[in-house]
Amino acid sequence: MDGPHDLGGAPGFGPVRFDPDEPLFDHDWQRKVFGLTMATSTIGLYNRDENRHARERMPAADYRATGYFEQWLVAMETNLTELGVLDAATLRARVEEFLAAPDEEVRGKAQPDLFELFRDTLEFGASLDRPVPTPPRYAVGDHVRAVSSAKPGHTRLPAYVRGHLGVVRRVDPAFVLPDTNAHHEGEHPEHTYNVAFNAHDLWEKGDHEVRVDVWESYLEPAD
Amino acid sequence: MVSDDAELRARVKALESLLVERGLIGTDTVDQIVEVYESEIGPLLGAQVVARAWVDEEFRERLLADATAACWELDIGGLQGEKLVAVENTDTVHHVVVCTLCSCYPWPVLGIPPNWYKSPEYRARMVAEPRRVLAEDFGLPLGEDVEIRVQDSSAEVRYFTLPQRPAGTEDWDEERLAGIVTRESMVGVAVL
Repeated sequence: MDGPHDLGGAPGFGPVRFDPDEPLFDHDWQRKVFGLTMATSTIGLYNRDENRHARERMPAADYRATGYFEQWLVAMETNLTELGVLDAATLRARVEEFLAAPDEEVRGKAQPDLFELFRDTLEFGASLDRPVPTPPRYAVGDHVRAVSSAKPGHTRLPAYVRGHLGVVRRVDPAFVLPDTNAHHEGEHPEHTYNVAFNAHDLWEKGDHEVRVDVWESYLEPAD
Repeated sequence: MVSDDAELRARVKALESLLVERGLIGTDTVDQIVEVYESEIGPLLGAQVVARAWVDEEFRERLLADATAACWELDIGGLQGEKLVAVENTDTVHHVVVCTLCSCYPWPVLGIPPNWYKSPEYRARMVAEPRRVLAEDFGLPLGEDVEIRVQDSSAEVRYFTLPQRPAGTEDWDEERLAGIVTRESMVGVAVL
């Protein structure tokens, strides 16, 4: 889908605020949002694509007005309430309670086993590569075109390459297709490709090359 | 949805407390997880990989052929680094990494991404005008003879760059070399 997250080439942005010495988190609540996202993902309350899609569905003005970790917070709130893990009214009532008593801490039981589960995920990863019976449709050096249609729902094809011609530079393993996985419509793994695009074709300026990683169904033969 | 810090703090606590009440997570879970990223995982790990590639030509070749396997030789890998690719910077080609759609980044090698990498400015502009962003925002003017390749991490591969070894370090050992490798050089917004 077209969404506010798809920022490649978007006009109107100023300088990058680069600070080599910035802290990992600017605020403690951001630290908590990061940890909560990792925790809820580890226990499988939602998948990675679903999590991304919840951020992408934010209204564009809200997406632009919020910082990175606030977008993560919105995604958790969206997913956990939509999936029925938490009830929206209960969640809001609890927010009001903490607003009225800001020094109140979260109370309850520890769960050391959960950290062990996270340790396993951390060490071994959560790879989304899957074997597929079909060979890759494209080979290194093939000329391809990125599809032009903007489907509704989640996708990982950046808008700026849609409809443009590129060259396959590397063939990668098959991975779970985000377009279906984000919507609980199955994994449907496809081969993925590293495809090079000429900047001048994309932006009508620039002498660089842009390489994008895409799933097989995001491509069609060039002719 | 523009929220002040008090509101954000309350929203985070509300979420955590309800998840704890449901027995889905513990009160210790969040801190334990974050501490891993605060104390164990960060760009120092990537610096070890780079230094090894500089001193060991066979390792360098393995790294460029299969970075996932090469990094595992140094016990580096796992979550958000399940498939790693290292791209090598030379006198004539400069690679820089971005994720225009979100914030994909090789966590086991570089830690979690810095604010500038996640910022809309970086995500919007690096693919369209890298030469200008590198020169003006990162103080890295590249010569016209250097070809720039921007890698957008849009699928499951996580990228890092293998920077060039600086002149004058020929007799340095691996540990000393690792000490000069910066996070920025491994994203491609700096050279050493």
